[in-house]
Amino acid sequence: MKKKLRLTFLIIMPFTALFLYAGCVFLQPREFTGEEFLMDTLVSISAYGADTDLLRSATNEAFAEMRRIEDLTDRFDAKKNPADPSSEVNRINEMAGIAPVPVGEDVFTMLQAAKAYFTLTKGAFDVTIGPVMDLWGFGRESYHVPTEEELREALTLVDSDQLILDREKQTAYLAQPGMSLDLGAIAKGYAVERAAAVLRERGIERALINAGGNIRVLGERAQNTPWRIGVQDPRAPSELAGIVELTAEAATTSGDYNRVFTLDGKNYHHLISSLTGYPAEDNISVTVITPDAFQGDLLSTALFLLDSSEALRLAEELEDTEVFLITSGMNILYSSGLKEKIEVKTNGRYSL
Amino acid sequence: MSKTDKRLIGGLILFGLLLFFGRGFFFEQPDKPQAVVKVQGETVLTVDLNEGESKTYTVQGSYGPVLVETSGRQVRAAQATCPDQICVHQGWIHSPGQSVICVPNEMVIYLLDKDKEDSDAPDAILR
Repeated sequence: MKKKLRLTFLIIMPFTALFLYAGCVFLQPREFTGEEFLMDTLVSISAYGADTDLLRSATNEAFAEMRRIEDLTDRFDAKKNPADPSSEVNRINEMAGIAPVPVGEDVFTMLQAAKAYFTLTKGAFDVTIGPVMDLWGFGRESYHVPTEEELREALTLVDSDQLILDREKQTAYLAQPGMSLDLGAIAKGYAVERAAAVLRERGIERALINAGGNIRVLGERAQNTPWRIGVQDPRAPSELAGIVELTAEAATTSGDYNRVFTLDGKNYHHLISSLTGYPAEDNISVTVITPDAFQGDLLSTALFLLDSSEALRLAEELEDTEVFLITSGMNILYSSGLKEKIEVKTNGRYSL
Repeated sequence: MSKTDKRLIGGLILFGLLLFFGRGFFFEQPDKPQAVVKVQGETVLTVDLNEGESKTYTVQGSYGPVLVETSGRQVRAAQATCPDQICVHQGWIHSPGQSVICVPNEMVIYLLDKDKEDSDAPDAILR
């Protein structure tokens, strides 16, 4: 009898071990990561959950949604030169001074928000910056420093007050011929937020979307553990200037180190103030933390274009908004709400 | 209990033990540090990284050739023909989680290094 018990035990043991191990493997939350080059950057989406098939299909749908937004908002596309006919933004630009253009809900929402930020920043952020961006050669990568005269002329065509939106007919109209929209500052954030919405609709509760300067997380990294997001040191690409904690939020960075060209030893970046027509010079990196990636994209650009102190003041004023910024004087500033959520690294370069 | 029974039991136990202790071998990635280069999502180059060793490789990106250089346990894009040169300016990357990205070439260089993985590393980096 005793012998038989031992025997049974011996047989059952390895199976128990096997099942326990298999259980650990199969019940563990799965991760699915997809990567695609989209909207001029590498986008990676990692989704976590129990069902790998669901993670994969939801991630693919999220990418498809981002591609859809890219097609609607593209102004230039190397592959479909010169202009993409499916882009509503191109159509609005072509019809400038001619007629209002019916647009979908997405573009209408983006333009409406852009107009609100035009008011908020007293004109520094302007989505009708197209003619000035063209003059500098951003987008087409044929850079050139415009003369004062050229800029003055182009700036007369930059005015969001002359972007007429009609809610009822859902149309957009640029009132002067030669005006043009450039959604470079906001389309990526909108697309990231749409991707997050797609994942949520598919029942994904934990995910990280990384589109370079735009990061959106769903849920927490693990129970009671926030995601940790590094902010690249604007003067040393392989180092971090800070790490922020994020839970179900978006973090967005605008920096003077992306899309830059150098002419005669001077750097020119793409964050152009609509007030002067020149790259904004008070900040070198602005990161905002917001509940939503679209709002984050608008705000990081808008704050970058303001004076550092004004940017900090505005961020403190706005609800659910935090900012971490590095000024061109190499000072690090951040809003009071970040105190417990940030790890600053001065890297011997910056002062607090 | 016959001899066959004993052998069967022994075999089962051995199988269980093998699976338990050998799971690392069956399910996990190799431990040695590696640089991985992907173009359009396809892995085009994998380099084992060894201390004190430098190597260069030419990878064909979507835009043109890219010179990938490794030095010990670091990797960088040393030369590229892309207009923005962002990948080249990125310089050496030395810890897992970092990557060199070239948009015109649709190329990414990753670093896999188990020894240097630490739980303090951020989940993602804002560029």
